[in-house]
Amino acid sequence: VPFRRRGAVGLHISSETCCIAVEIHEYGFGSRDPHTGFACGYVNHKGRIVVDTQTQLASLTDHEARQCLDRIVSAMNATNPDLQLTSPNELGDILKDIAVSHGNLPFTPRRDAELSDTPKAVRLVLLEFLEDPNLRARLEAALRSDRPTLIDPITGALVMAGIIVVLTTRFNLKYKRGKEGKPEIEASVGRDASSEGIIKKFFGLFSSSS
Amino acid sequence: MPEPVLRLYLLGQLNKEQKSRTLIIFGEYKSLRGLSRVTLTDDSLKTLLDSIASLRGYVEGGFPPIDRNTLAKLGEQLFDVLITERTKELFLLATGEVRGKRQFLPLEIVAEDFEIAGWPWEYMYNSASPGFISQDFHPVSRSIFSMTSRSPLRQKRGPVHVLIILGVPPDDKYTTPTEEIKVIEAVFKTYLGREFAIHVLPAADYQKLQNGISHHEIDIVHYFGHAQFDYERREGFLSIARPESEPFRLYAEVFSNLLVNSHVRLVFLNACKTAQASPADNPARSSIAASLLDRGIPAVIGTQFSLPDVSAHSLASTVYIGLLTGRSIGEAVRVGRNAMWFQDKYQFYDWGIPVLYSTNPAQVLFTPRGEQLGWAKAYTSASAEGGQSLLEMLADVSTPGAPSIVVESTRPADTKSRVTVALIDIDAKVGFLPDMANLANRSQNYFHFEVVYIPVPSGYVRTDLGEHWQTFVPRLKDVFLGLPENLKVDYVCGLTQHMIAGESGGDKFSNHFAALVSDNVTNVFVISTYDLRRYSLEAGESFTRAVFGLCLAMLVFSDPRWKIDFHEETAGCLFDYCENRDDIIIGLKKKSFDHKKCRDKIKDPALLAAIDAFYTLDFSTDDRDHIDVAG
Repeated sequence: VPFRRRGAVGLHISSETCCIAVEIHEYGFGSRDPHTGFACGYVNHKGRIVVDTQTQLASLTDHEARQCLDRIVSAMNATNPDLQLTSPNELGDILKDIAVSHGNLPFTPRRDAELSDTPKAVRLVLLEFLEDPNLRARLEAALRSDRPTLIDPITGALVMAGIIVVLTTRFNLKYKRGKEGKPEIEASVGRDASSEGIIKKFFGLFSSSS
Repeated sequence: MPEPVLRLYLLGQLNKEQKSRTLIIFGEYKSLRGLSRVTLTDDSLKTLLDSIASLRGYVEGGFPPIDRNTLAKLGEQLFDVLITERTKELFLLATGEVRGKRQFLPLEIVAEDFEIAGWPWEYMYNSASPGFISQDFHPVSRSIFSMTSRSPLRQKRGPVHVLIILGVPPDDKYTTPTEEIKVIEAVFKTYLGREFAIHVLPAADYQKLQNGISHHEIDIVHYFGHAQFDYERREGFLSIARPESEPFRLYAEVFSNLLVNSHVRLVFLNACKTAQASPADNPARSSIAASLLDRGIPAVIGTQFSLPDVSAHSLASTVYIGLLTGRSIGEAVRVGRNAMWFQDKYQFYDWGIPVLYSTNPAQVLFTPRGEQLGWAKAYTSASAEGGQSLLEMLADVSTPGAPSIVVESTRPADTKSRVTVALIDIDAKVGFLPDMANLANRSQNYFHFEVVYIPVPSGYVRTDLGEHWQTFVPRLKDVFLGLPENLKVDYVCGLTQHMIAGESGGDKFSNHFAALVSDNVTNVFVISTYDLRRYSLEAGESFTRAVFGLCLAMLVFSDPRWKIDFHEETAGCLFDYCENRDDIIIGLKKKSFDHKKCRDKIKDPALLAAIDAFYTLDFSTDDRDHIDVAG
């Protein structure tokens, strides 16, 4: 039952609406009910709690959210070894190229520990996985594989890696290895309204003032 | 005898530039060799690599979804690469042989290509006999090409020292290090009692690691905590938590160098990806487990994927139970894999996460206490056959400490110069017989007595042959007549608490003090202790002397050189027939062997000296066996 997670404190059942509400102890987003401040799940006809992915995400602790993103990046890394999702320098180089191609957006590559609000950045990236069916499948799979494991994060730049996963999947971003083994963008992110919004959101995490 | 191992060497490079590549598989089982070639086309290689990538993706992040059938298909592909043509014949032949003996056949895989070396061989699936071979008869292990020389492991003596390195603080919120220590300690306590010591190195003291390994003669290094593979550096590392700081990364090369020239016989890396290697580098450099093997550690247990925290405990405890009960390392890991089934949130692939790197998967790292491997297997095999085989095995006293029907303290190293006599306590229940034998052995140099306990056939006690119960010696014939040869002794003397009955020259006799087991064989006889305690007490002599007096009489009587027979006359001689049984008291009262008629027949001064020594021997130590006449 997802509500048994750490950070999810209190359980309230409203007899009128048959709605189960969980108070989010830590930073939450999206699914928080604007009136009650609770994330919501529902009881289905079999009496089981049904929680949508959004709610599940909201009920994760910071640590769990980070582990979730780590699992997504790890799975992506296993199936796409060419992506090099583990090298902070290479991740920084790719994002720098994208920043340049989008009007020289201010961008300073940062490892997770160097971000001003890492939990917020992690959740922001995770939230983006909800918007695309391919990414959503990865997110849901990662939420399901929630056994505590004895592993360190696959990279110290999980947020940058997560952003690359989103961009490569959603916008068919491709890159290849240059002569010196450095990554070179082959197909860049388009400049429609949707992509512009995401790019701005993501790169806002890496502006020098952040 | 160690278990046989089927070794498979995979030779050739995985050149992706070519459209197809041929690999050579060299198989080795005992003295048999088999060579196969397998061609991997672009398509077959792509299918295989995609399947492996999918497995990794699913284990690490649940994506892409796969199920047990998909895993079996991947396992089948891996199996077909390795077990094909001649190596398949070898595999079938070896499997048939070990299954007949109810043994395991460990498979050891050594691959030349670095990427192939990292394939998940543990999941090999045999479709002909449906099942993952690692789970049943073929514990899969890995090895490397290495130039490090390794001397064979000697049997571990003394306490087992375990160094537990914690990579996380004891109060870690997300892992359970204290549980790990508790589980390991419980296993060692159960199987070794006090014969072990566990030294815990907390994460905060990681700088003391080298001292921890060097100070004690550590046998097992056990790591519990986080780990990861550094994809940039292409090397695995243990991640050791530090307060207020980034975790310390203990890389494969540094860690393995700490253990060079140590006494460590097992490193157990209970953390994630500790056996993962870079596809572009030699595992001996990039994988923590393989790197340790390369530095001379005989066995290393690592993991090829992420390891769930809860499974880690059950894996450790089960593997250690296996090792401490004398299983080979390969078999112990196989049992550990299977124990992972019972964990909360078990996933169908969990059992294949642990990886064993070893110099020999059939080696036994720890022999169970009080047991020695050399004889244990022979004993098991003889037990299965039973009867004479078991008796022969138990009669062999060449291995000190091995189970034997011969009391070890009564068997000296050299008995060549003496006449050897096996004293077999059939049912006389002379508890201090070994002490008596040792005393008799010290008092003279002619005979050597050893005490033997053997199973005797039922039905030798007869109640229909006289006033009292009788030991009917013909019933003992089948077992006793072969004993001089089995025990490698000159004479066999059985002791029974009943009077003796038998057959001689077609006539039956009963109520005897002693008798040959067979008329035709003169070196196997039985003596009776019936009433002997009472007689010796009445004579003021020890029970021991009475027993040895009878034995001595039969030994001399059985020696054809002297042509001595028991006489009707009661002369207080060793050879009084004692028609009236009470007459034996007269002989017991005698302080010397002075019956001239008999003494003169014995021409060997050494034998006479031995007989005289018995008469003067002080057997007062057998006070324990006195009975209360008044009672």
